[in-house]
Amino acid sequence: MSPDWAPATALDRRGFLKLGAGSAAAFTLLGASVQLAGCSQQATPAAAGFRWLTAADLPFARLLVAGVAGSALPADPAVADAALEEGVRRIDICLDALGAPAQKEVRKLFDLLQWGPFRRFAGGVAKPWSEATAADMQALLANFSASRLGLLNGAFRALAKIGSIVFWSQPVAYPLARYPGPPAWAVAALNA
Amino acid sequence: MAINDLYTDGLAKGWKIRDASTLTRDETLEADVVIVGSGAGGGTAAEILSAAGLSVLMLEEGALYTSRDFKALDEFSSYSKLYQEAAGRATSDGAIPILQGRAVGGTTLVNWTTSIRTPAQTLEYWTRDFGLKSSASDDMAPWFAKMEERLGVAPWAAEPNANNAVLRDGCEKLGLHWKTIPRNVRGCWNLGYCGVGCPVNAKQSMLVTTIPAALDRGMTLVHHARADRLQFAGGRVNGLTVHALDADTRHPTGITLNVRARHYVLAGGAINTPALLLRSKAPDPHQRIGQRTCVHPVNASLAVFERQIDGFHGAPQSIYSDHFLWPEDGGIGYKLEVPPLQPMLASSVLARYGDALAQDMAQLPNTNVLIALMRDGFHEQSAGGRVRIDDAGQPVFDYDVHEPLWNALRHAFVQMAEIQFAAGAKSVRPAHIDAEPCANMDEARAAIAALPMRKHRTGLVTAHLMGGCAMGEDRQRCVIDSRGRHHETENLSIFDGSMFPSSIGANPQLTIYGFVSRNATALAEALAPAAKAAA
Repeated sequence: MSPDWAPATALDRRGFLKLGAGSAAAFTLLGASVQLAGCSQQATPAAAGFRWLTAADLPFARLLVAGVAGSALPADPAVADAALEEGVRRIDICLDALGAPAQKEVRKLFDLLQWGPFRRFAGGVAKPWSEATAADMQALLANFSASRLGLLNGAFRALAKIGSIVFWSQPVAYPLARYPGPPAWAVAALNA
Repeated sequence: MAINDLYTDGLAKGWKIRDASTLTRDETLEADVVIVGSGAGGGTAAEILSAAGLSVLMLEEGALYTSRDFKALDEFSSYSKLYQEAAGRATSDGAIPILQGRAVGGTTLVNWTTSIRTPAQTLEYWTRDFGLKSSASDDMAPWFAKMEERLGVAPWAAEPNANNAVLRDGCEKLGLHWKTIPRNVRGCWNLGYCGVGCPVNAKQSMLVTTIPAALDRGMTLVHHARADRLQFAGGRVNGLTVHALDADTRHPTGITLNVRARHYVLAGGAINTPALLLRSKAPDPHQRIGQRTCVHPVNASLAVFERQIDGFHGAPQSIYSDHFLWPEDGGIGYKLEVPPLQPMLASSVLARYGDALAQDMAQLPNTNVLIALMRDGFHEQSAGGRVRIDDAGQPVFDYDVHEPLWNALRHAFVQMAEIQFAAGAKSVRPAHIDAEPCANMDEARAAIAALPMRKHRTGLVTAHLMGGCAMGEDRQRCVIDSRGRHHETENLSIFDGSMFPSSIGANPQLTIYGFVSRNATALAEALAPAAKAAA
């Protein structure tokens, strides 16, 4: 998939910004552009060892965890790597569990995020995800969050939520939230 | 300390529980009554119908998890297993995330135990506008009392945790109404993990009360079993097709169960029940199925205190305020409560990332959150949303937020901040993409007045699904009658949150228990003599 290989009818920045805020039709329209551009992964099988994420989704998913975790990501590279890997595994579990209608919407969003013109114009990230950094992901989240388009605000919320859930649910993150875990006396009593 | 696992003991004494994922061939199952769903409505009906001597078959699409599965008190594993769509369910545009249970016990397995009777005003509204019969406060009181007794409902006698105390103390300082929440618990350890499954069988969910009672009476429970379609003919239902789901409960195995019953009870909740009816092309002369689905849209206010709050520990909800529930101008009101604050749930509503999120999370033990639950469905411009099905028959839930609802949400942001500052907060931030922490009420008022109240910018969430199969004698507006019987189909009842003509203005579980206990008793009386004669 070449990020620049899009038909002449693909939406340019101006065309994109004209789309109505918060309209589900906009995703459908953009989804159609992605399909025209040959980028849709609607029928792509999951990556080996995963239930729902495709091989092309994996670098994006890993950066999403890193970008949302930010400075909370452990300094030790091995520990950080394990947290990112577990985060991606958890994203896969969450997305696989969505109902089919929601999965279709997430698939459209993930496909769009792989598509160069959208990633550049809407997200401000020129590099493909395999070459991007956590800072690039944060730039995308900032652009989506600040956008006047409800559609992108919605994408921001969805991405921030899933990144938060899969990182802050991990015991490795508990100390940073000064969360002691369940009361130790109860855990001891329950497992006695 | 060993906690008895009711289901290990029950299976030993012969309970009939089947896991449909393990079935290798199609089967036909017969019963006097089949109940689709095992939550507040299904569980309550199961106990009453089986006690009347009827043979009952209960179907649940989720899995069976019991107290032994909840000992880890781990957020991720529980939210991903015990909730619809792994807690990722939402309105079709994603603007309102939905927390709804999906396992044996339904949402009662994971709710926060708040057990409040239906407000009298709500019952009056349903009576007046929808022709609901014999359902005034006095009519319902004995049914609420019966279920309160059954489920150990009593005002929380221990000191509220500091998170709830903020609501109490703030209201007290400002002279606002507040009350202690009645909870359905017996021998509660005050841990705070109701949302991830009670590890000590203290929460009196359907899993540990009515379902075991029905199993003792010979009920058959089949889990991993998703109701696909009802067959309608000649004003009756004459069959139900059920798909077995795989071990993960995500995909059909290809095995089909054909269910035949004298009577069919739907109790799959306010999204799945209307979707099943729509998929089955149920008679719907006035196009009411799936309409007026209400959610108590919830917004939240985050406050940071000098003192320790530790909102992750202790009974999650023990104080509420109805001060703003019924405004004098007749507008949309709201109930004030508090959510539990374990890190995953807390982080999921912050809508932040990177360093800003890390800073928020570092303050978790000093953070209090108040939530406001909007009373939707009482006004013309707040008529709830609509459940429909997509081409594949899957539920899709559209919900629009109109101006009066936005105004009420903005009003709630101000009042929640006021309460938090009154209780000693050093800063308050509305859960909104554009909000920053405010150091005092003047700042907060100005900031809240300027917030763009729009979907996705304003943080919204719900855990309450109500409506879609409204109950009342007005056949133009209602799908079922006052006894929960389908208006067009004689052997079909709806016993779950979808029966309500609007939102309730209180956490739904006790309203479901009360109405279903009454309506299932009436159904048992109608069916049982014949069952006994046939026996």
